[in-house]
Amino acid sequence: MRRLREGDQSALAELYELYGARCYALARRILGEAALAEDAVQEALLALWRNPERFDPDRGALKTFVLTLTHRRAIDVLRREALQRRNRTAGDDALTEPAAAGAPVSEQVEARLEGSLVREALKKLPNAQREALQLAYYQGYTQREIAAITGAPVGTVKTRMLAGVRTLRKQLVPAFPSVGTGPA
Amino acid sequence: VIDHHDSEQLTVGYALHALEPADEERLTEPLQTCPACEFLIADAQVVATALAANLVPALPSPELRQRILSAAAEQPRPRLPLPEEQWTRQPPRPKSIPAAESKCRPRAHGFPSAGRLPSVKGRLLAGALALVLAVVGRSRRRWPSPARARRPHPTMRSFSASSSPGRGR
Repeated sequence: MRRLREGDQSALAELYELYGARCYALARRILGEAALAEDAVQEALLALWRNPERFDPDRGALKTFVLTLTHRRAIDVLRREALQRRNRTAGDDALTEPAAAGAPVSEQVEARLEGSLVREALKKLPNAQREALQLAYYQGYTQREIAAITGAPVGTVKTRMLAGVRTLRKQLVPAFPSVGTGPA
Repeated sequence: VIDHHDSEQLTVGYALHALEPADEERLTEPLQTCPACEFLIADAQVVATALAANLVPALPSPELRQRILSAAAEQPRPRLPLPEEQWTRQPPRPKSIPAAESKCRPRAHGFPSAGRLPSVKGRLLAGALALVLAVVGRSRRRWPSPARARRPHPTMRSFSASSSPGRGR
Protein backbone atom coordinates (compact mmCIF):
# COMPACT_ATOMS: atom_id res chain seq x y z
CA MET A 1 0.00 0.00 0.00
CA ARG A 2 2.89 2.32 0.64
CA ARG A 3 4.02 1.96 -2.98
CA LEU A 4 0.48 2.49 -4.17
CA ARG A 5 0.26 5.69 -2.14
CA GLU A 6 3.48 6.83 -3.75
CA GLY A 7 2.00 6.31 -7.21
CA ASP A 8 4.05 3.23 -8.06
CA GLN A 9 2.27 1.57 -10.98
CA SER A 10 3.97 -1.74 -10.33
CA ALA A 11 2.05 -1.84 -7.03
CA LEU A 12 -1.18 -1.50 -8.95
CA ALA A 13 -0.09 -4.30 -11.26
CA GLU A 14 0.71 -6.43 -8.22
CA LEU A 15 -2.68 -5.68 -6.75
CA TYR A 16 -4.28 -6.79 -9.99
CA GLU A 17 -2.30 -10.03 -9.99
CA LEU A 18 -3.37 -10.74 -6.42
CA TYR A 19 -7.05 -9.92 -6.57
CA GLY A 20 -7.96 -9.27 -10.19
CA ALA A 21 -9.30 -12.76 -10.83
CA ARG A 22 -11.42 -12.78 -7.69
CA CYS A 23 -12.76 -9.32 -8.35
CA TYR A 24 -13.61 -10.30 -11.89
CA ALA A 25 -15.30 -13.52 -10.79
CA LEU A 26 -17.43 -11.55 -8.35
CA ALA A 27 -18.32 -8.86 -10.87
CA ARG A 28 -19.03 -11.49 -13.51
CA ARG A 29 -21.31 -13.37 -11.12
CA ILE A 30 -23.25 -10.20 -10.38
CA LEU A 31 -23.35 -8.69 -13.85
CA GLY A 32 -23.33 -11.74 -16.06
CA GLU A 33 -21.58 -10.00 -18.93
CA ALA A 34 -17.83 -10.11 -19.29
CA ALA A 35 -17.48 -6.57 -20.61
CA LEU A 36 -19.52 -5.03 -17.81
CA ALA A 37 -17.63 -7.11 -15.25
CA GLU A 38 -14.30 -5.90 -16.58
CA ASP A 39 -15.53 -2.32 -16.44
CA ALA A 40 -16.53 -2.78 -12.82
CA VAL A 41 -13.12 -4.22 -11.91
CA GLN A 42 -11.38 -1.41 -13.75
CA GLU A 43 -13.46 1.24 -12.01
CA ALA A 44 -12.84 -0.32 -8.62
CA LEU A 45 -9.07 -0.57 -9.00
CA LEU A 46 -8.77 2.88 -10.50
CA ALA A 47 -10.81 4.32 -7.66
CA LEU A 48 -8.26 2.86 -5.28
CA TRP A 49 -5.44 4.14 -7.47
CA ARG A 50 -6.82 7.67 -7.42
CA ASN A 51 -7.51 7.67 -3.70
CA PRO A 52 -5.32 5.12 -1.93
CA GLU A 53 -5.86 6.94 1.35
CA ARG A 54 -9.38 5.56 1.30
CA PHE A 55 -7.96 2.26 2.42
CA ASP A 56 -7.60 2.25 6.18
CA PRO A 57 -5.81 -0.88 7.43
CA ASP A 58 -7.46 -0.35 10.81
CA ARG A 59 -10.79 -1.11 9.17
CA GLY A 60 -9.87 -4.39 7.60
CA ALA A 61 -7.71 -6.28 5.15
CA LEU A 62 -6.83 -5.01 1.69
CA LYS A 63 -8.54 -8.02 0.15
CA THR A 64 -11.79 -7.14 1.91
CA PHE A 65 -11.42 -3.55 0.80
CA VAL A 66 -10.85 -4.38 -2.86
CA LEU A 67 -13.64 -6.94 -3.02
CA THR A 68 -16.05 -4.62 -1.24
CA LEU A 69 -15.18 -1.89 -3.69
CA THR A 70 -15.72 -4.21 -6.63
CA HIS A 71 -18.99 -5.49 -5.20
CA ARG A 72 -20.39 -2.02 -4.77
CA ARG A 73 -19.28 -0.97 -8.22
CA ALA A 74 -20.82 -4.04 -9.79
CA ILE A 75 -24.12 -3.59 -7.95
CA ASP A 76 -24.20 0.07 -8.93
CA VAL A 77 -23.66 -0.88 -12.57
CA LEU A 78 -26.33 -3.54 -12.28
CA ARG A 79 -28.88 -1.11 -10.93
CA ARG A 80 -27.88 1.58 -13.37
CA GLU A 81 -28.08 -0.62 -16.38
CA ALA A 82 -31.27 -2.30 -15.19
CA LEU A 83 -30.19 -5.62 -16.60
CA GLN A 84 -32.52 -8.52 -16.94
CA ARG A 85 -31.68 -9.81 -13.51
CA ARG A 86 -35.31 -9.94 -12.51
CA ASN A 87 -35.69 -12.95 -14.73
CA ARG A 88 -33.14 -14.81 -12.71
CA THR A 89 -34.09 -16.67 -9.60
CA ALA A 90 -32.29 -17.02 -6.34
CA GLY A 91 -31.39 -20.62 -6.99
CA ASP A 92 -28.37 -22.36 -5.65
CA ASP A 93 -26.31 -21.80 -8.77
CA ALA A 94 -23.90 -19.71 -6.72
CA LEU A 95 -23.13 -22.81 -4.72
CA THR A 96 -21.88 -24.66 -7.74
CA GLU A 97 -19.91 -22.10 -9.66
CA PRO A 98 -17.72 -23.96 -12.14
CA ALA A 99 -13.97 -23.64 -12.07
CA ALA A 100 -12.54 -21.05 -14.42
CA ALA A 101 -10.23 -22.44 -16.97
CA GLY A 102 -6.98 -20.57 -17.15
CA ALA A 103 -7.00 -19.05 -13.66
CA PRO A 104 -3.68 -19.37 -11.81
CA VAL A 105 -3.38 -22.78 -10.16
CA SER A 106 -2.55 -21.37 -6.74
CA GLU A 107 -5.56 -19.09 -7.00
CA GLN A 108 -7.76 -22.01 -7.98
CA VAL A 109 -6.55 -24.17 -5.11
CA GLU A 110 -6.96 -21.45 -2.52
CA ALA A 111 -10.31 -20.46 -3.92
CA ARG A 112 -11.50 -24.06 -3.92
CA LEU A 113 -10.58 -24.45 -0.27
CA GLU A 114 -12.17 -21.21 0.79
CA GLY A 115 -15.08 -21.75 -1.53
CA SER A 116 -15.87 -25.18 -0.18
CA LEU A 117 -15.87 -23.84 3.38
CA VAL A 118 -18.16 -20.99 2.49
CA ARG A 119 -20.40 -23.33 0.49
CA GLU A 120 -20.71 -25.64 3.48
CA ALA A 121 -21.45 -22.70 5.76
CA LEU A 122 -24.09 -21.43 3.37
CA LYS A 123 -25.69 -24.85 3.09
CA LYS A 124 -26.11 -24.98 6.85
CA LEU A 125 -28.09 -21.76 6.89
CA PRO A 126 -31.87 -21.92 6.96
CA ASN A 127 -33.18 -21.56 3.41
CA ALA A 128 -34.78 -18.18 4.05
CA GLN A 129 -31.54 -16.71 5.42
CA ARG A 130 -29.45 -18.12 2.61
CA GLU A 131 -31.89 -16.87 0.02
CA ALA A 132 -31.89 -13.35 1.49
CA LEU A 133 -28.08 -13.20 1.53
CA GLN A 134 -27.72 -14.56 -1.98
CA LEU A 135 -30.34 -12.27 -3.44
CA ALA A 136 -28.58 -9.30 -1.89
CA TYR A 137 -24.93 -10.16 -2.39
CA TYR A 138 -24.91 -11.96 -5.73
CA GLN A 139 -27.88 -10.34 -7.41
CA GLY A 140 -27.93 -6.86 -5.97
CA TYR A 141 -31.48 -6.75 -4.69
CA THR A 142 -32.31 -4.32 -1.94
CA GLN A 143 -34.02 -5.43 1.25
CA ARG A 144 -37.35 -4.09 0.05
CA GLU A 145 -37.01 -5.88 -3.29
CA ILE A 146 -36.15 -9.11 -1.50
CA ALA A 147 -39.25 -8.67 0.63
CA ALA A 148 -41.32 -8.33 -2.54
CA ILE A 149 -39.71 -11.39 -4.11
CA THR A 150 -40.02 -13.64 -1.08
CA GLY A 151 -43.33 -12.32 0.22
CA ALA A 152 -41.86 -11.61 3.64
CA PRO A 153 -42.10 -8.28 5.47
CA VAL A 154 -39.08 -6.00 5.11
CA GLY A 155 -38.38 -6.32 8.83
CA THR A 156 -38.24 -10.08 8.47
CA VAL A 157 -35.80 -9.79 5.59
CA LYS A 158 -33.56 -7.56 7.71
CA THR A 159 -33.71 -10.02 10.57
CA ARG A 160 -32.90 -12.93 8.27
CA MET A 161 -29.89 -11.12 6.85
CA LEU A 162 -28.58 -10.25 10.29
CA ALA A 163 -29.07 -13.80 11.54
CA GLY A 164 -27.44 -15.23 8.42
CA VAL A 165 -24.38 -13.01 8.74
CA ARG A 166 -24.07 -13.84 12.44
CA THR A 167 -24.24 -17.56 11.73
CA LEU A 168 -21.74 -17.32 8.88
CA ARG A 169 -19.39 -15.35 11.09
CA LYS A 170 -19.44 -18.10 13.71
CA GLN A 171 -18.87 -20.83 11.16
CA LEU A 172 -16.18 -19.05 9.22
CA VAL A 173 -14.04 -17.82 12.10
CA PRO A 174 -11.76 -20.90 12.06
CA ALA A 175 -11.20 -20.66 8.30
CA PHE A 176 -11.02 -16.90 7.95
CA PRO A 177 -9.09 -15.48 10.89
CA SER A 178 -10.14 -11.95 9.98
CA VAL A 179 -13.83 -12.87 10.21
CA GLY A 180 -15.42 -11.91 13.47
CA THR A 181 -12.54 -9.86 14.74
CA GLY A 182 -13.62 -6.67 13.07
CA PRO A 183 -11.04 -4.08 12.23
CA ALA A 184 -7.54 -4.82 13.39
CA VAL B 1 -32.34 8.27 16.45
CA ILE B 2 -31.51 4.61 15.99
CA ASP B 3 -30.63 2.09 18.61
CA HIS B 4 -27.97 -0.54 18.22
CA HIS B 5 -30.31 -3.38 17.35
CA ASP B 6 -31.57 -1.28 14.48
CA SER B 7 -28.11 -0.12 13.47
CA GLU B 8 -26.79 -3.67 13.51
CA GLN B 9 -29.46 -4.64 10.97
CA LEU B 10 -28.62 -1.54 8.96
CA THR B 11 -24.90 -2.23 8.97
CA VAL B 12 -25.44 -5.75 7.65
CA GLY B 13 -27.64 -4.36 4.89
CA TYR B 14 -25.01 -1.73 4.21
CA ALA B 15 -22.25 -4.32 3.96
CA LEU B 16 -24.35 -6.26 1.46
CA HIS B 17 -25.14 -3.01 -0.39
CA ALA B 18 -28.82 -3.86 0.02
CA LEU B 19 -30.17 -0.81 1.82
CA GLU B 20 -32.85 1.46 0.49
CA PRO B 21 -31.70 5.07 0.08
CA ALA B 22 -33.72 6.13 3.12
CA ASP B 23 -31.97 3.56 5.30
CA GLU B 24 -28.58 4.61 3.96
CA GLU B 25 -29.49 8.13 4.97
CA ARG B 26 -30.34 6.98 8.49
CA LEU B 27 -26.96 5.34 8.74
CA THR B 28 -25.02 8.36 7.53
CA GLU B 29 -24.60 10.05 10.88
CA PRO B 30 -23.83 6.93 12.94
CA LEU B 31 -21.14 6.14 10.40
CA GLN B 32 -19.54 9.48 11.16
CA THR B 33 -19.96 9.50 14.88
CA CYS B 34 -20.24 5.97 16.21
CA PRO B 35 -17.18 3.72 16.47
CA ALA B 36 -19.45 0.80 17.31
CA CYS B 37 -21.33 1.20 14.02
CA GLU B 38 -18.02 1.53 12.21
CA PHE B 39 -16.90 -1.71 13.82
CA LEU B 40 -20.12 -3.47 12.84
CA ILE B 41 -19.77 -2.31 9.25
CA ALA B 42 -16.20 -3.56 9.02
CA ASP B 43 -17.15 -6.86 10.61
CA ALA B 44 -20.14 -7.40 8.33
CA GLN B 45 -18.06 -6.48 5.29
CA VAL B 46 -15.55 -9.19 6.15
CA VAL B 47 -18.34 -11.77 6.37
CA ALA B 48 -19.97 -10.48 3.18
CA THR B 49 -16.65 -10.62 1.38
CA ALA B 50 -16.27 -14.23 2.41
CA LEU B 51 -19.25 -14.88 0.14
CA ALA B 52 -17.01 -13.88 -2.75
CA ALA B 53 -14.75 -16.79 -1.84
CA ASN B 54 -17.62 -19.00 -2.88
CA LEU B 55 -16.86 -18.09 -6.44
CA VAL B 56 -13.98 -19.72 -8.24
CA PRO B 57 -11.66 -17.09 -9.72
CA ALA B 58 -12.21 -16.39 -13.37
CA LEU B 59 -9.81 -14.84 -15.78
CA PRO B 60 -10.77 -11.64 -17.49
CA SER B 61 -9.43 -10.86 -20.92
CA PRO B 62 -5.66 -10.40 -21.07
CA GLU B 63 -6.20 -6.81 -22.17
CA LEU B 64 -7.83 -5.76 -18.90
CA ARG B 65 -4.55 -5.58 -16.99
CA GLN B 66 -2.96 -3.28 -19.54
CA ARG B 67 -6.13 -1.24 -19.87
CA ILE B 68 -6.14 -0.57 -16.13
CA LEU B 69 -2.44 0.32 -16.05
CA SER B 70 -2.77 2.61 -19.06
CA ALA B 71 -5.76 4.36 -17.54
CA ALA B 72 -3.85 4.75 -14.26
CA ALA B 73 -0.92 6.33 -16.09
CA GLU B 74 -3.22 8.93 -17.58
CA GLN B 75 -4.98 9.78 -14.35
CA PRO B 76 -3.54 12.36 -12.02
CA ARG B 77 -3.39 11.56 -8.35
CA PRO B 78 -5.31 14.29 -6.51
CA ARG B 79 -4.10 15.09 -3.05
CA LEU B 80 -7.61 15.25 -1.69
CA PRO B 81 -10.11 12.41 -2.19
CA LEU B 82 -13.07 13.03 -4.43
CA PRO B 83 -16.43 12.37 -2.79
CA GLU B 84 -17.66 10.24 -5.66
CA GLU B 85 -14.67 7.94 -5.31
CA GLN B 86 -15.37 6.90 -1.75
CA TRP B 87 -15.20 3.15 -1.65
CA THR B 88 -17.99 2.50 0.79
CA ARG B 89 -19.50 5.93 1.06
CA GLN B 90 -18.02 6.05 4.55
CA PRO B 91 -16.81 9.44 5.65
CA PRO B 92 -13.38 9.79 7.20
CA ARG B 93 -13.12 8.56 10.74
CA PRO B 94 -13.78 11.45 13.14
CA LYS B 95 -10.98 12.44 15.46
CA SER B 96 -13.20 13.49 18.30
CA ILE B 97 -16.89 13.04 18.75
CA PRO B 98 -19.01 15.17 21.02
CA ALA B 99 -21.39 12.74 22.67
CA ALA B 100 -24.28 15.14 22.36
CA GLU B 101 -23.96 15.17 18.58
CA SER B 102 -24.29 11.42 18.14
CA LYS B 103 -27.79 10.23 17.31
CA CYS B 104 -26.80 6.61 17.75
CA ARG B 105 -28.10 5.23 21.00
CA PRO B 106 -25.91 2.41 22.27
CA ARG B 107 -27.11 -0.44 24.42
CA ALA B 108 -26.18 -0.22 28.07
CA HIS B 109 -24.00 -3.31 27.79
CA GLY B 110 -23.00 -2.86 24.19
CA PHE B 111 -20.10 -1.16 22.53
CA PRO B 112 -18.39 1.88 23.98
CA SER B 113 -20.22 4.97 22.91
CA ALA B 114 -18.67 7.70 20.88
CA GLY B 115 -17.42 10.67 22.79
CA ARG B 116 -17.94 9.19 26.23
CA LEU B 117 -14.80 7.19 26.61
CA PRO B 118 -11.46 8.40 25.37
CA SER B 119 -9.59 6.03 23.14
CA VAL B 120 -7.12 3.56 24.64
CA LYS B 121 -4.28 5.49 23.07
CA GLY B 122 -5.62 8.73 24.50
CA ARG B 123 -5.94 7.27 27.95
CA LEU B 124 -2.43 5.84 27.80
CA LEU B 125 -1.00 9.16 26.66
CA ALA B 126 -2.86 11.06 29.35
CA GLY B 127 -1.66 8.60 31.99
CA ALA B 128 1.91 8.76 30.77
CA LEU B 129 1.83 12.55 30.76
CA ALA B 130 0.43 12.66 34.28
CA LEU B 131 3.13 10.24 35.45
CA VAL B 132 5.90 12.30 33.86
CA LEU B 133 4.56 15.49 35.39
CA ALA B 134 4.30 13.86 38.80
CA VAL B 135 7.84 12.51 38.63
CA VAL B 136 9.22 15.81 37.39
CA GLY B 137 7.36 17.69 40.07
CA ARG B 138 8.66 15.42 42.82
CA SER B 139 12.20 15.47 41.51
CA ARG B 140 12.15 19.26 41.38
CA ARG B 141 11.03 19.43 44.97
CA ARG B 142 13.72 16.99 46.05
CA TRP B 143 16.60 17.86 43.79
CA PRO B 144 16.90 21.49 42.83
CA SER B 145 18.89 22.16 39.70
CA PRO B 146 22.52 23.25 40.16
CA ALA B 147 21.61 26.76 39.05
CA ARG B 148 18.84 26.93 41.62
CA ALA B 149 21.09 25.45 44.26
CA ARG B 150 23.70 28.10 43.66
CA ARG B 151 21.14 30.87 43.78
CA PRO B 152 19.52 31.21 47.18
CA HIS B 153 15.82 31.71 47.51
CA PRO B 154 14.97 35.44 47.72
CA THR B 155 13.89 35.15 51.32
CA MET B 156 17.13 33.37 52.14
CA ARG B 157 19.14 36.07 50.37
CA SER B 158 17.47 38.79 52.41
CA PHE B 159 17.97 36.78 55.55
CA SER B 160 21.64 36.19 54.74
CA ALA B 161 22.21 39.82 53.89
CA SER B 162 20.79 41.03 57.15
CA SER B 163 22.21 38.44 59.48
CA SER B 164 25.52 37.52 58.07
CA PRO B 165 28.19 38.80 60.35
CA GLY B 166 30.79 40.98 58.72
CA ARG B 167 28.80 41.62 55.52
CA GLY B 168 28.20 45.24 54.59
CA ARG B 169 30.96 46.41 56.61
